[in-house]
Amino acid sequence: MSLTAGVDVGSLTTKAVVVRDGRMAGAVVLKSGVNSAEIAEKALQAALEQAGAGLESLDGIVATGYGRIRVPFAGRRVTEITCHARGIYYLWPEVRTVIDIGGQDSKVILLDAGGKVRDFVMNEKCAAGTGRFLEIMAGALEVPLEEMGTLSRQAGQGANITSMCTVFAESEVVSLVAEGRPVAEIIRGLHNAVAQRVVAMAQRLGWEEPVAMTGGVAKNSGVVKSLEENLDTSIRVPPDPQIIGALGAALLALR
Amino acid sequence: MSHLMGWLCHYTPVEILTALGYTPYRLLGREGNNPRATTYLLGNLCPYVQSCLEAAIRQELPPLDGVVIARSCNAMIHLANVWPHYGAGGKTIVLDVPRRLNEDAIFYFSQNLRQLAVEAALAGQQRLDEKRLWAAITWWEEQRTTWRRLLTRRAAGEEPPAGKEIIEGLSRWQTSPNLREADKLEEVITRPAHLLRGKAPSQPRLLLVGSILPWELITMVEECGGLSVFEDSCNGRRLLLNPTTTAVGEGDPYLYLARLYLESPPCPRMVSDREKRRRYWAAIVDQFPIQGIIYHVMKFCDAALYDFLDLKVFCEKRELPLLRLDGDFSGGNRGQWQTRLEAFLEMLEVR
Ligand code: SF4
Repeated sequence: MSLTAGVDVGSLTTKAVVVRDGRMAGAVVLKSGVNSAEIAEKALQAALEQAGAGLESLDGIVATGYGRIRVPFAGRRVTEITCHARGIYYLWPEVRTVIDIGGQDSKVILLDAGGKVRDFVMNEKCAAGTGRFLEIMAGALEVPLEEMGTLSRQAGQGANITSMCTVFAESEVVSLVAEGRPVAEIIRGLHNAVAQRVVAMAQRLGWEEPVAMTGGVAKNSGVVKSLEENLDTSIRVPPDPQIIGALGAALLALR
Repeated sequence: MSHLMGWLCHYTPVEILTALGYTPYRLLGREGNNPRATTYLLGNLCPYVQSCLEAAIRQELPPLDGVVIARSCNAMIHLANVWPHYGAGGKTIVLDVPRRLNEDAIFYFSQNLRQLAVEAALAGQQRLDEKRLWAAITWWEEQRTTWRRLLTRRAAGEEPPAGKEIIEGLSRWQTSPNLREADKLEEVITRPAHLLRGKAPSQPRLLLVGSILPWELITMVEECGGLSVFEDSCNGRRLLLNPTTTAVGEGDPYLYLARLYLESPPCPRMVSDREKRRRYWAAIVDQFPIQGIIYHVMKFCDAALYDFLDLKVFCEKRELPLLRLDGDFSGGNRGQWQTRLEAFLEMLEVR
């Protein structure tokens, strides 16, 4: 029997996954905090509880995510790029492109037939095209973040958001609200803007089908739809896209 | 007290400065933002060029008799315009460098070098004696040979000195005010040679490319577990030129220098030399068993951006992994680069 864990410390959420004999036995998502080590431990304990196991029975722990260096109990640290690739390969080995939009960054990853990373691209140090961008816009529109997807799908068309700079886009959103533009159309416009940004990255990389999406933003069906329209392909989204990095980390801990 | 003459672009023949009695002093920029330089230069101009001006405004440079600014790119032209007003004082000498390589270009460059010798001459100095110039040429060539020999050892199976140590050594070599003192020279050039550590290591062997490579990048690459075995940059291997087939001491020394510099491995700005640059990369990849390439694109550097596109095609043909890292030469790019670098090295390790 083997039991391993992966902990993914992101800028907004911390995820832990426990894998027993190659199958997921526990998964937890918590809000990240100032003390990454403490939250990571809490998430791991909760995931272990779901798996009905204790810390002492773990054969390995891999930490990933931007806070991976702040997980003192991890045996190894692996980047989220390798971990998302591993997680998706476990679910759908035929997938060749992974789009991961997290709280702080977005990436496009190309996989080979064996699930190995062939190439990748990440966004510039800027909130544009990330979960944080959408969070700020949700705040400006006074709409709960989780409702953005449903709302945008109700819009017949999207408003034109010309600036991808978070600061400028926010003032554009405020002007559109003042003009009386329906909120659903503004949100759809924002989703299109995010999608266009990510699609440009995918094109630079030479993306290939099939495509899967991971990360917290994959829970927003509006962004997924915009991406599908812009790429002219369907995108697979795992049941819980947020935990794929932690799942990949737990699987990599098996080695 | 030696007279220091500043220089920036590696197409500046330091031999002429040495022959005139100066110690050439390379301006390598500084870490941090450049708020004062952006008062005089546009914000979207090469950060390396900005940081050289910033260092001058902040009086962080040693006393210079002047500076030679090669007109190698647009950013340098702007720098040459503002330096006489806001730079470190002394002479500002502008050197025009051709962008292509043919016999006309070599002749044109040799004339510019002759002019440089006149403009840089110390007060009351006679016309530069050719014998002195040949002596300086020989002196520099001897040093470059020592460096080249050391760097070539990184191609062999031995564990080479780390890229960080090589770049550190090269920086000291370009900025040491007492370089002509034999013991200094010994210390600067041969020190990295003592760091050869025996057998070949197992880390991924990398080629680092870029206009000017920040020290921060080389350090990070090696901290993350990569091994920089070749730095194709104007503060790396390009600085060491290539030996010419022309005999030293015969003919016109200015023509000799023009040929030496223009025929050496080309910089990304040599737009018409693309094929030569491709052949240069191919030779490096084969000779130094390169497993991956990292290209550092200096923000706003068009020459580097076009060069990167060319390298991308080269890498695709050879199925070589390539990572592009954008930087602003501020020393503050760690956060931006960390995950990319680590992921790239993970990618190389599983190959
Ligand atoms: S890095 Fe580019 S822009 Fe800067 S000096 Fe060199 S060639 Fe010019």
